[in-house]
Amino acid sequence: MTPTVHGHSPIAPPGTHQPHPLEARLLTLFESNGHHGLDDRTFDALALEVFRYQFSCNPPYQRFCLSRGATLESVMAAGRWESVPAIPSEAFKAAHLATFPVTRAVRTFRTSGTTQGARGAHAFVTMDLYEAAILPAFRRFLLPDSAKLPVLSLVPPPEDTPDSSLSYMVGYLASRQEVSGGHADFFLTRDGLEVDRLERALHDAASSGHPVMILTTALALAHLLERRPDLRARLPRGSRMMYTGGMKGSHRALPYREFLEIVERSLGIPPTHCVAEYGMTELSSQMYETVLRDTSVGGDLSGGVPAHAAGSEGSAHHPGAGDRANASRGDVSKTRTGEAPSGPREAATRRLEGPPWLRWLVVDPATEAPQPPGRPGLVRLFDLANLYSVAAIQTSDIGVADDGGLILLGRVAGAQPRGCSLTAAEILENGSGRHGA
Amino acid sequence: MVPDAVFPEPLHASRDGSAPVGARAVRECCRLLQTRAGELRRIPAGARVEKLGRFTRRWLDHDYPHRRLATRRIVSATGFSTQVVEEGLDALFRAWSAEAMTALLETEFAGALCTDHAADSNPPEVMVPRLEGGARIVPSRRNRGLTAIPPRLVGHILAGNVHPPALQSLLAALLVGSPSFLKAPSAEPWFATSLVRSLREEVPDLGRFVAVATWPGEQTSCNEVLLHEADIVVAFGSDSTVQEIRRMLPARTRLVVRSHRVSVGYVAREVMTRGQVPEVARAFASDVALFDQQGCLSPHAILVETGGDLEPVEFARELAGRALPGIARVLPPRQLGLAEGADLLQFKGVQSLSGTVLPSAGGAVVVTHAERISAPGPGRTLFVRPVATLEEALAYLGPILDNLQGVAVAAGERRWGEVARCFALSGATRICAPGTLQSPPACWPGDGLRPLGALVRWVSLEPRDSPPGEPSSKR
Repeated sequence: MTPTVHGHSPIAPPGTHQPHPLEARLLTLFESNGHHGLDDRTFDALALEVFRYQFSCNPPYQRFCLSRGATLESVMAAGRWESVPAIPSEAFKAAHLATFPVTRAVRTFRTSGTTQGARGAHAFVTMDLYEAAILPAFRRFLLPDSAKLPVLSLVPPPEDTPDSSLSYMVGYLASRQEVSGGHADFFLTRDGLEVDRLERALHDAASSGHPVMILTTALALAHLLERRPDLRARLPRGSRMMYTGGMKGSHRALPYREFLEIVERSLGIPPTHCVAEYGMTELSSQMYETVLRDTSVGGDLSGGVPAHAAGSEGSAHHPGAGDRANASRGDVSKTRTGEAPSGPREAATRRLEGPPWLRWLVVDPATEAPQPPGRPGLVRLFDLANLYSVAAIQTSDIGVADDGGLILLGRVAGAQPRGCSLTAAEILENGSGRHGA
Repeated sequence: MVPDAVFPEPLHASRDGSAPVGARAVRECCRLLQTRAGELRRIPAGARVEKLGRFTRRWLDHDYPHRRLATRRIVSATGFSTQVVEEGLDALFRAWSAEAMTALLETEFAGALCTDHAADSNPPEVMVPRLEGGARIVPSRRNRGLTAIPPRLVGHILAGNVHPPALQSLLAALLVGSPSFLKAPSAEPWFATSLVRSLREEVPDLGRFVAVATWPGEQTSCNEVLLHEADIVVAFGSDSTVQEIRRMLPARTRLVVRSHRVSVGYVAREVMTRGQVPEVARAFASDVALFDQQGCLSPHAILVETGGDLEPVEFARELAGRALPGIARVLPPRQLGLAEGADLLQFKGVQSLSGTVLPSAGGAVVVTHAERISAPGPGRTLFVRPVATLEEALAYLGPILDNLQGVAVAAGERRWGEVARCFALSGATRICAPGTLQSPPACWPGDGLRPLGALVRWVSLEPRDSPPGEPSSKR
């Protein structure tokens, strides 16, 4: 079936986007409802409208639904967002999952390359919904006190990595007055991490008395701390950090609690002000740890750093000496590409929440039925902001529902037992060999 | 927990399993085994076969304590169902009966194995210098003086959690008359350990030529010792494992590589009838069920010819809808954990974009028209690929032809030879009937290598008085 997107010719060039009527409704919702819930009926109604549109205009998604015996009628009749077939995130590697032809994409985000070969691609026909979805959630979980903080970014600027959804998001946040007050600096560029300049900026911030916000990947931060193991910047109270991404494979993986301790010792940012972000290339919205928002309830967020916290004890911890045995569980692992920010025990108080237009479920991998709270399963997401791709996404992340929040447990790496059969990776590798050429 | 190292007495090495085996203990053990090589060769081949036959027969008893313990531990280490492990052990030990081992020796050596024992051979025609132990090398007439010399020590580096290779490798070494040191895989060290313990008990006069131990992969000092002490190393595992072994191996030590491989099935159009398809599907289902697609003889794709009475998709439906659920009642599938469950969900989702996914017991059957075979999913998952010709089948299998192991062929009498020849020439090491993939005979040359022949060194023993240029004139 050929997609018919709002009567446009499939060869229409990028930039001639004519929005689907749902777009305007969603934009209004995002702008007005960032801090409020969305009742189940409203969410279900919107989700089914989005599904109807995607089923009709996204051919690979339709094929996926039909292969599972899910028709437009059967899903609409079920009447709940949970009944909408969730496409596995890996499918973004195999097909152009969009309601518009690939030629009309204004931007395409790609997953990072892995040993498994292909990169997933999430194409956008407009960035309006994506951008509108960023700010409300970020402000709710990082700026609950409505502070405007200069941004120090350890994430590359979007012009350096145009296919990175994280760079795009960070670039957008840095540019927003209500976030950064117009002050933002990027320290990770094509030339690598500018450690000297970053160290100066941290010390300047410390001496200025004005709090700052660090936006980083865990890996970039580990690089910094490896290069400057004795760093003791006492960032002003109220400074905070959003971090994401993984350290796996970098030989720098370290347990979560230890990671937070090192951050506190090196930068003076207490654990309450370190917020993990959970985002995916395949999504348009993000989830965040609630720790800072919860701290702010009735409190003053500038009361962050105890005077004794920074640099007062012991020798500097070298991140490279992290406990590799903990690398598969309980470490600071990928949050943006879909792995967990924390281990089960450490995570007990570090729940994730998202904006009202992003809902999630934890499902049993065998039956795909929802798991009861407390029982681990696979995280499934429904993101209304994914209007022009697929809203229902099945991840491979292991999580558990806890008191209305989501606790990520990460992926159990290397769980598949090995026999003497050729493994998936070996077959893929062979595929690029002489026979597969 | 790690099993105790089982070393030939009087060595003592971490009998309580608490301390890891050290490089020194491994070296001492290897040297002791080497000194016993002559002693082993003096046991007549016929006697060795008789003893080993007694040993393998013992393991066919489900109540044999060593088997019961090994089964329990394999189940716990691998997640295979008890029924799968039991069935796998039955097939394995049945294949290595005394009769099969006699036939194997005869097939490979035709009496040309050096045993240092006159009872084993024809009257000597050639007198040669005496070897250690004072016995003679006795070449066989039938082999025109060609004689196989067993190595003094075979080092087996086992890998993975599929157990047949441990037994096959050990028995092959004992049959040719070589002492063995087995490095058991750290993922599942129990089977190899149970084998050696039981050998000690059942046939102590052979058990003293075998040792087993395991150590963590990063403990390279033990690996290095074993690689330096052994005359021949049989290494199982992935390409990267083998490369690492190759890197450490002395230049002149022979390496017998048993790499990761994959198997497939082929169904010719003449058997695609309503009468035969259920039977063929049932046979393939048992190949899939044993070892849950983790063995090198597990079929990851079945190529089904178009143009028969039934379409390939109907074969796939029979497989997914009846045959696999049927066999799952007898041989339950492994329970997939969360990570594998996630992989299976992703796999099915991606495959459904381009093929037809038929969920089945513990996995899925995917009807695909992809040009090239792709990575399989976890559990009992396999591809059914419709093909018009053998050429199309080979093109689809292109990425794995270098690693092809078995091909189970369902074809009429007239076509069977053509299909078998085609796959034999394309890389397969075994052509067999569906339903028998997981029970290879003892003489099967896994990885294309003769089980016994790969271990020995050949020597040509020519008549003392043969005139120049006519070395074989008297034969």
